[in-house]
Amino acid sequence: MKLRLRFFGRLTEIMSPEPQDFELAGAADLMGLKAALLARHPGLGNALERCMIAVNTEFAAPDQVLADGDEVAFLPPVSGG
Amino acid sequence: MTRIIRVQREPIELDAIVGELSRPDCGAVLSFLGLVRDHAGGREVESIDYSCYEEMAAKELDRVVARCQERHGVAHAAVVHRIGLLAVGEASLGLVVASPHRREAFACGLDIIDEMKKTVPIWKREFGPDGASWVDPGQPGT
Repeated sequence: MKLRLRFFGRLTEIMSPEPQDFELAGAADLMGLKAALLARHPGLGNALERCMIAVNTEFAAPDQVLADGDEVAFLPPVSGG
Repeated sequence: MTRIIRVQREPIELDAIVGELSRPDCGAVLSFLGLVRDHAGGREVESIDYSCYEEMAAKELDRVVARCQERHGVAHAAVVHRIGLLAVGEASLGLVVASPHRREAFACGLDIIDEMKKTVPIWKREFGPDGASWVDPGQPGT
């Protein structure tokens, strides 16, 4: 399936801040996506683990099932205000 | 019931928001500005670059403010968050709460700020003489 990934905050030091397409084999959930991402970008490591994840701009559970075309955003601990 | 939520690059006009929220039945109008401070965790700060997940920030902020309004029985609230590079002294956050009496206005305003800092997808990167650093909410002074 084809996903659209978004990275923010300190993650943009490793990944582009621009939305990017990501091809994930077969049916998958967020755990599978994270594993695939870490395999391709080991530098994400701990930073990715500390993220909240939003799917289509809604906060998602760690095992949420993904659908083709979903936008998945990795949100490091927020610091607004 | 009034709720004004904005995530914007333009400067925050607090007086205008106060005007928008003032009502004859509201004797308490609380207004708050969050400014860029010249220090954080013992480091000197010259500016802060605020970034956000544009498609989600206002939406999540709206949810947070709605929850706080309900919890405190406050009918009118506004939160404006500024995005972009802000120098020391510039306002990053403007908040106005209007209610008949002061107690619920203060409680609601404080609650909104505490809650928004947990989930609204906005990040700050501080710049100072020591370089740039992403702010982590676990650190002191944030």
